[in-house]
Amino acid sequence: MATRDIIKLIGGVLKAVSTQAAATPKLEVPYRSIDFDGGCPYDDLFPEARHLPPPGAHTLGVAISGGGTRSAAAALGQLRGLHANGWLGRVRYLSAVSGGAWAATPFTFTGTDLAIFLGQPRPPGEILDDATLQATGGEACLGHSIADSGLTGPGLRAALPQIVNKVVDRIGEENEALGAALKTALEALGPDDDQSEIYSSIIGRLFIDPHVADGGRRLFTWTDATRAEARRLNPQLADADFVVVPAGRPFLILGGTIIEHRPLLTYPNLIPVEYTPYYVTVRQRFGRNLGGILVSSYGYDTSEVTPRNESTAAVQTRSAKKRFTLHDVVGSTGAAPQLFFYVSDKIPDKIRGIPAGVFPEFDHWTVRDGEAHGLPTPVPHGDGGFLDNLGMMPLLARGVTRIIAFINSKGPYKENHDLMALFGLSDRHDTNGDKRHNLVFADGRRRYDELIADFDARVGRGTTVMHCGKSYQVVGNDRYGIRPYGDVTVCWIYNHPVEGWIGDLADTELARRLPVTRDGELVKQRDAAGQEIDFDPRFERFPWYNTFGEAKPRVMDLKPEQVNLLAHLSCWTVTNDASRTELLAQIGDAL
Amino acid sequence: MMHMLTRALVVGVWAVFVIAADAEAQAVSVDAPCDGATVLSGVVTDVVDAGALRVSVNGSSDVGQDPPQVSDGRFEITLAGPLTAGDAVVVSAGTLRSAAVEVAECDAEAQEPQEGRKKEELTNDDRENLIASAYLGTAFDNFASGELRTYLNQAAAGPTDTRPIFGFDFEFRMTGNRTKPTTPRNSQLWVYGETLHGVRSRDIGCPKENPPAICADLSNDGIFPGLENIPEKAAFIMKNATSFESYAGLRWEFLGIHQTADNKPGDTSANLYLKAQIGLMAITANAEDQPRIAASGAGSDAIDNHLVAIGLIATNGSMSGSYVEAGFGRTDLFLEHSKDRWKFDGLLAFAIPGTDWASGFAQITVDSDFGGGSDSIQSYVGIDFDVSKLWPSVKKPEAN
Repeated sequence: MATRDIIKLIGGVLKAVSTQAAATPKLEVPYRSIDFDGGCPYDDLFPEARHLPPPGAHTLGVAISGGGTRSAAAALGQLRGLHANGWLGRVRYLSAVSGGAWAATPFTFTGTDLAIFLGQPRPPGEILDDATLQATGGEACLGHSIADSGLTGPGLRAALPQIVNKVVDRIGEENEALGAALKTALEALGPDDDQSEIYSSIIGRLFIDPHVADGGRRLFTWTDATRAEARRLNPQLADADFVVVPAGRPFLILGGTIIEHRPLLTYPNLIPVEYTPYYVTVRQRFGRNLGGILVSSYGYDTSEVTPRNESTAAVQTRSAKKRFTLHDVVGSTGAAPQLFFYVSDKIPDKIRGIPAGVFPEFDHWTVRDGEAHGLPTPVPHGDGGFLDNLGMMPLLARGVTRIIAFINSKGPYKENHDLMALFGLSDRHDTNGDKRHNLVFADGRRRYDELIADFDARVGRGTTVMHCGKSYQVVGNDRYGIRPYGDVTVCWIYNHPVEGWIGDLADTELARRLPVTRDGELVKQRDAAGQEIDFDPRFERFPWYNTFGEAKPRVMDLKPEQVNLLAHLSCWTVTNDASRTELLAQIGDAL
Repeated sequence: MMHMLTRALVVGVWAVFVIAADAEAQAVSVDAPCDGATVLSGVVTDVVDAGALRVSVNGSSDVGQDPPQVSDGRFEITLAGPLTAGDAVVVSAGTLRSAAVEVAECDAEAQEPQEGRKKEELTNDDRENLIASAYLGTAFDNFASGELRTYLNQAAAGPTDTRPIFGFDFEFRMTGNRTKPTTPRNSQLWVYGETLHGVRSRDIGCPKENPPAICADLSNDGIFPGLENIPEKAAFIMKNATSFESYAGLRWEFLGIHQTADNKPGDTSANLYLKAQIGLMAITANAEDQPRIAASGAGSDAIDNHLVAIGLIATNGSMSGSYVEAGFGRTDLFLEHSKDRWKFDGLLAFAIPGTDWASGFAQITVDSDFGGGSDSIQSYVGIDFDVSKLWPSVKKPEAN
């Protein structure tokens, strides 16, 4: 009887769907509803402070800017230099954005000996030839990951299962039952442990997987103690379900950007989000559904929230395999192209979500007066560089008073809007981000001019392009949850050709063919007769490699020698005697 | 004395300051908006440059807005898109700012239709949660005449290819909010049912020769039914029809088409849907048809007529309820390929001028095996009307 068959079929589908729903993992997660405007205590805003060693008179933070694989390569050298100087152990906070985070995240979580992971400093006098530059070490070395950062070929092939999963995820977001049914079918056809977003999957496979076992599947948390707490709340989880940070690493903070994109807005509302090993937070409240929340990192990107009390909530992940992992974090903080798809007027409104959906979208929830709130669908979580590409805000929010800020940008510092914005001198908002809300330093014009003048002088002298500004007064900034304070010293170090370093290169042929700057532009050097010397084509834009397409046809890759040369320069900027002495003089009270 | 004077002066200055601050705080205030609103209203004092009023939402001042309209100390600002429950809204003018107001989830039914978005949202779907009606019409079977050799009940008397039909139908929206655009997350699940009297039999007792008197009134020469004597027509068809069909199903409307904030009243919106329908058909067969019915596999059982389909249904406007769909299923009415039937159905519903209790419809259905077997192409026209019209109204006796 056909009717009976149909009823049987419907019953079977309902049973399958309900079984699937029941299998969706539930977690108990610590959270805190915070109200930055309401005078929330420091330790509630920054709970890591309870567990970190008591700060001395000053705290040291390091900020590493965004800039794709260029910044990752520079960050490799900068971390190497700080390690070589013996300062890493004194760094309380390491703030990184985008490409900087692609280096800082594996650095924070890797169990590999740092001397191997980061490689050894090589002063210019030891850079003899190409062979020196082309060795990136083994797979345990960060340099190897950056030089192997293929978005084409293997990267895309690896991402294919995720593309399929992504389509199913999208269906599941729209209709849970249908999505669950398709998920079940997919799992039956061929399980894939990594359910990250497509972009996150690609980035995670390149920068996390070589250094953190199962980084795309395991949850992550900060310390053994936070893992124990997570397991106490969730006995079904094992130690092996978590990645934790080895002892002695700075507290990592990665910048991301929540993109609130709606017909109501003529430009997306960009909201800063911080990812740390311990928690994910948006300090400021942006309406009832966004922000004012701090959630344990393993409980982010969840839904079906039921607050148990003021500090714990029951949540549910989207599927049995969809966990918030380090893949998601490095994918979000480095999702530079994402905003273009929301802002560009070249893309019809109706299809914006399709390309944009390749990039990370996470469920974001809040708790107000004991009730959970959130947006009905996952929210785009994009590149931290859309707002604060220098990674300064998390440090200033935490009241850090001594900062080394590595600006791994490309192009002249006088046109750097990320930098200008901190002094209230940029109102740029476009497909690259929104810099209008970034004023944090008082007396902005004077302090900025002072910085630029020092940079100019350093370029003229052929030394590290560095400026240590003292006694900055930080002004309050609601968007980033920053309260006013003073006595801040920031040593800005700009990714820039250094003629003194170039002149010391042992490989003199290479030295002659590297660019130098004139009036902020990269130019060819001249021989004794005044004739221009051709660039070495591999280093035509050194050290201002393009974020994408530097080594065409590859999308993000840098060649090993490009990675190494930039890392050596960046390392040298903090290890050479003059820089080291100056840094010690300026921020030594935090070391 | 000096101390007292000083104290009085301090208190006075403080009072002036407080009053001034309060006046400033009250310079702009916003009426609490509801979820989906695109118009903000509130109070503004005349000291404020009304043209400078700017709206910010969730800390963003990049809110698309029309120039503020100000009258008698009240302002109204039309926004580029709807507000969402939980949004924090602030209106400012220069250094003056209203207190943040949270957008509430108001009860849509309790609200008066507002200007702008709320009104427009309602135009996206004007179908009530429960729709129950009856219909009266005419079925045309002449397009399938070539296939009638395998069409069940062919021996039923009746020389004409048109028949009056009658039935009841109802739809109930089980889930979904019609005030919001239809999306898979705000999908609508409908349960529906329909009865159909007369269409599959070739005769309801109105042969061309010597038809009963009601027949003349019934179908206006077998074509377009009139609006008169509806109870009598319905009763005649129900009594005489030799086929009866009933259908029930679930319809999941999951995606709105043209359901945007830009819609104006009169713009037609539609919902894409999937549906699963179970149908049973009973035929009072003549004796010579019994072997054919048995051969169809239906035996003395009611004949199965099931369907799964995808379609598009108009959700508003004068043609609300019109749909087109394509599906697959079984129709045991056919001897060949009865379990592999492709079915297409299109219905056009339209308002009838001069009446608010009835609407017209025209429909065509195709049931094909896309092969050598029988196909059916039928078309219908008729009226869909308020079911209460089946019962003649009772007039109060006139007072002497």
